Formats: sequence, structure tokens, C-alpha cells
Amino acid sequence: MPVENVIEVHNLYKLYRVGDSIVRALNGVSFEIHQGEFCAIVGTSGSGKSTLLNMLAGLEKPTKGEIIVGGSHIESLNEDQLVSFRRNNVGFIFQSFHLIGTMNAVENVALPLSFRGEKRSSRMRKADKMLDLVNLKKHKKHLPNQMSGGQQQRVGVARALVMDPKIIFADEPTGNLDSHTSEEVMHLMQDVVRKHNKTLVMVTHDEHLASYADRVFHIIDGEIVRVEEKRQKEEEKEQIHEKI
Amino acid sequence: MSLTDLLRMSIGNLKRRKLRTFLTVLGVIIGTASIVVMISLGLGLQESMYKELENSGGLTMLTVTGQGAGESMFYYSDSDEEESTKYITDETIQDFEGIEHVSLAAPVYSMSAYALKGRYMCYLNIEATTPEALAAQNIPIKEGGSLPQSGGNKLEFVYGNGIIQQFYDKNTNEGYWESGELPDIDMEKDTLFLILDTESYDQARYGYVDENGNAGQPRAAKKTLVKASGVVEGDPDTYTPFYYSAYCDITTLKSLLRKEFTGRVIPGQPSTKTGKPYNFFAYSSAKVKVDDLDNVEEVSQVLRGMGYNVQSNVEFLESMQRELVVVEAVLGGIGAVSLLVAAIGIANTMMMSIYERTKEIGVFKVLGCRLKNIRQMFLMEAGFIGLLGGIIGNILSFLLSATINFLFAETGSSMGLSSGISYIPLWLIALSIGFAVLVGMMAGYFPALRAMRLSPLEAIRNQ
Repeated sequence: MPVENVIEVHNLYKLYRVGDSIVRALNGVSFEIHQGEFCAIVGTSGSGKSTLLNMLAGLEKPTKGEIIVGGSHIESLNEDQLVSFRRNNVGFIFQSFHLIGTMNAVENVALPLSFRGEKRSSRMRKADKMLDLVNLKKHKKHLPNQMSGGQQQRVGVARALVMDPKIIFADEPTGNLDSHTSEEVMHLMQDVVRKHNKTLVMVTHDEHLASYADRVFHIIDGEIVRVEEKRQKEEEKEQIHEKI
Repeated sequence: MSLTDLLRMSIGNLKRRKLRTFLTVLGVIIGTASIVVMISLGLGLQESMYKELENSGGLTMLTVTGQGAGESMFYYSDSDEEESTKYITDETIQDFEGIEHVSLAAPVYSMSAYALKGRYMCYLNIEATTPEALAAQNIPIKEGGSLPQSGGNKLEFVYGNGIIQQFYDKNTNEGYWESGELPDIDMEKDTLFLILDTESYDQARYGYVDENGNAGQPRAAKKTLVKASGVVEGDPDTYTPFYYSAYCDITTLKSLLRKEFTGRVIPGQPSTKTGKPYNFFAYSSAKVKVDDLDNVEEVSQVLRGMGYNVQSNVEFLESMQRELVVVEAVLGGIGAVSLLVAAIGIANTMMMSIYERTKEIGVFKVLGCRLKNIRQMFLMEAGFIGLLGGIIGNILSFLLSATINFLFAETGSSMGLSSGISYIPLWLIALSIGFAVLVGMMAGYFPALRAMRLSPLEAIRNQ
């Protein structure tokens, strides 16, 4: 089966000017991410991992290089086009959830659909379904401050999924959660991605969380130093188990 | 995003900061109310002026005067206009009718006569003109009455609503002003005696002295029976433009005068050097109605060219309008200052709101909300503050206006302001609400642009 590349990055550079010196946040990065893959970008803080994610999502412009998402070059789009690109292709999961405080869970999930101009009845129905999917059946009418961090992040996941995006970006999705809830949320994300054949790109500094991914990019000082193939390993393990 | 979604979101945002929204709206309420009330005062002034003009024949009615005839209580001519040497006669009226754009030309004769009823008498100011011209004056007549009939021998009057106050007791010489009691006369039903030859009547009362200083037998003044065809609407205390005069048909009056003064010069009429009357009847003035406002100036010019003095309400109106525009601008300007302050309040509130919602705006942008929609959302919020303030401000204005009219009702009517001193027309409501919304949106425009331009990265950065 030929693997389709959802994201292609060629020779990506991002340079910041800090006072008199120039900081290379990204220093010539190239990689591909396939359809249906769960990728993790792992690095310490200041390694350039968040910058990379922001550029993939069209939130920041590269200094040099190409980013091709779903066949189109997003480095040359203007702000309006970027917004529309995100609206139609990208779901986003934030570290601090960023739910709208005045809206209940269903309304929060339905919010991105309203940006697409969907009717209220249809988007509420979709949002309702999504909350079922992330196991939040009891908290649909709750406001964010009436929910635990884990529940809030589930709403965040549902909000990213409801748009039926090609790619989901997650920026330290468990950064504000305790380890137990983190595991839960990671399982959920892994589950959803596998079941619905979504592409998920996650940024984290936690090697353990990265182990949930199919592929892990290790990034140090703006360069990808190592790529781990976890899925193949797992499959190999399974095959070994079967043999035994 | 659909309009309803935008609206729902904007209103939701206003609702979650109730106190702040209320305070901002309060500013707009005060601003709108002060503009509306201020302008309503100017409009009230204008409105009562228009009514006055309407009552005195509107804008297309010209008053033409020649050389004085009759006995007019009113002094018309301007000092800078030369006294005309031409009399207004039946012939001139026909000439006037021949002028282009003139739809009606009617003679007017003003004179005074005594009216008697029992022990009361009064000095009656008579205005006589043709039935057409009487009808054109739109005199408001109390129910049951009508305009005087024309063509008969009987002289009929429409009495001004203030005439009853002018009767006084023949014996004590005390009138309404001295005794405070209205005479026991039913102006509508009672028959009055009219004395046209006031000179002879006075001579009979006070004694007759001829040129040589000898007392003699005065001529007997005829008493004519007259009835009212109607009375002008209004209490004796309410001022109207038809307050003082008694209106009647000119043809009937003329034939009565001719009968009374057979062989003599009718008082007020021109005479030859030897004291003989001319064979024409000279009127006090003429009313000329022009078919359209645009032709008033043209017709006035023609009439002036014929050697007559012309007064129209147009010049008066124009000078009044110039003054009123200034008054309204000053009043409106005072109100506008408070709305300006309110606008600054709106801008401030919107700015605060954007700082508070920086994160939210960033999330919206990351999730794919159109830049246009973000701007619209904030503009709507600001516009909504304006709308709310405008509507409540107008309600407040109505209350204030009613209070002002109530408090100053008596002062107003004694000043001749018939419609109250504060007047809010529909267009002012619509305009002021629209203006409040516009001011709100203008005040919200730059904050909205700022929100639109916020970098999503900046907004969603952690911590």
C-alpha cells in the first residue's frame, strides 16, 4: 500500500533576532508525515519543537523552506488564507485547554463548526456525538470551571475532532495534567487516531508520553537528530510474541 | 459565521460583564437623551412657529396693501417701504386675479364698530373678506358653527374667542379685566346690535357739538341686528391668531355700509377735496394666494411692480429658520458633547474587553475564525451598546420632554407656543438611535481592528 504524505517539510529554517545575535530556532529541518500516523516531536524547552509545530499549523511564518500540507504550500499563504486553511484542515489541542469560559462543554465543542457557518442544530448534534466519543456523557452541560483538568482536555480533544480535520496538532496536551490523567488522555488520543485514521502531530518534552506515538522525532537545537519507528517495533514485538 | 451566531456571541459577551455594560450604556443613554431633548426644544419652537404661520394663511398667502382705507387696528407697513399711493378696489382685485400663478385674490376690509347686548357693549374689530378667502384662512370654528353666509341681507359673524372679554358694562364702564366676571352673553346664540356709525352714536351718548360749538340734534345711528354663524374654538383665555376679530362677508358689509352712510363719506374711505365720496370702494388690503411656494417671489415682484406693498410669510420664515438653525445647532452641540464622552467610554470598555479576551481571540483565530468575523463581533458589541443606549435614551427623552411640557405648559401657552416647548418627531427618534449606534461602532472600530490583528501565537502562549 503506497503511503500518502500528509505533511512534507523541506529545509525549514526559522531565525529569530534577539538583540544583536541571531538565534536559529530551526536549522534546516526536513521530514514527511504519513496519513494516519501518530507522530511525536520530542525535545527540551528551547529546542525549537514548538516553533516547528506552530509553523506546521500556519501560526508562524518560516524564514526559509517549504511546508506542504495536504498538497498545498502553506508558507506562501496570507493570514486570511491561513485562517481558512486551519478552519478546513487542522484541529488543535492546547496545553492549557483554552476552552471558552462562558460556554458549556457542548457549545465549546460546537464552536469551530460555527466558524464554518454550520447551522446550530447540526453542530450541536455533532458536538454531542463527539462528547460521547471522548466519554464525557455526563458533563455536556457543564462549564469549564465545573470540570476537572482531564475532563476539560477531553472537551479539547472533542473540539479538535469535531471539525473532522486532516491533521490534529497537539501542543503539550498533558502539560497541565497529573500523570494518571495524562495516561488517560494519551490513551484516548491514541485510540481516536487509530480508529478514525487521523494524523496526529504532538509536541512534548516527555519521552514516556512520546512512546505512545508511532514515530518520534527527537529535536535538539533546531535539528532533528533521531527518528524512532515505534509502530514497527511494536509490530515486531507482536510477531515475536505470536511466534512464541 | 452566520449573523445570528455573531449576534448571540456579542450579546453573550455583553451579558457576562453586566455592570460594565450597564455603565457604558448609561453614558450613551445620557448622551442620547441630552441630544434629543435639546433638539426637541428647538423643534418645539419651530413647530409652534409653523403652526402660527399655518393659521395666518400659510406661506403662499400674500397680504397686499395700498393706500390705507378702513380702520385697521393693526399697523402693517414697514418703515423702509414707501407708502403706496394706490387704492385697492374691485378693479385691482380683478387685475390681481389676472396675474399668473395667482389662485385667489380677495379684498379685505377692516373696520371697527360697536356691538351692543343689553347693558354690555364692546368695540368690535371687524375683518371682512370674501367667502373663499375666509375659507382659505382655516379658522377653527367651535362645533355647530359655520362660516358666515354670503349674499343675504343679514350680516353674520364668526367671533374671535376672546371677544367676549372685551364687553364692558355701559353704565359702570367695568369690563372683564376690572370685575373678573365674563359678561352674561352667549356669543353663539344671542343676537347683538351692531352700530356702524360709531361717530353718530357717540354724539348721541355724549352730546353733539357742531363746527360752531353749538349743541344740536345728532343723526340717529342705525342699530343692525346681527347673529353669529360661529365662534372661534378656544377658551376666552387661550390665545389664538383669531382671538380679537369678528369675521364677516365683505359684500354684505359693504351694502350695509352704503345704506348707513347714504350720501356721506363712509369713515375710512377716501374722499375728494370737497368732501364728496368717490364712486369706488377702497379696501384695506387684499389677500393673494399663490398656487405654489416657488412662485411666491415672482408674484410678489409683479405686485410690487404695480405699486403695492406686499408682505408674505416667506421672508419672515426664512429669517426665523436661519435663527432656528443656529439655536438647534447650539442645543444639539451641547448634547453632542455628552455623547462624545459616552463614545470615549465605549472605546475604553471595548479596549478593556479586548485585553481581557486576548486569549479567547487567539483561540478563535487558531480554530479558524475568520478575521472579518472577529472584527464584526467587536463592532457588533460596540454597536449594541449604542443601540441599547439609544433606545433607552429615547425613552428617557420622552419622559423628560413630557415633564418639561407639563411644567412649562402655562408659560408656553402665554408665550403663544401652542404645541408645547419640547417636541420629538419620529425622525428624531430614528436619527438619534441610528446616530447612537454609529457612534458606538465608530468608537468600537479601532478596538475591533486591534482585536483582529492580535497575533494568535501571542494570544495562546501558555501562562
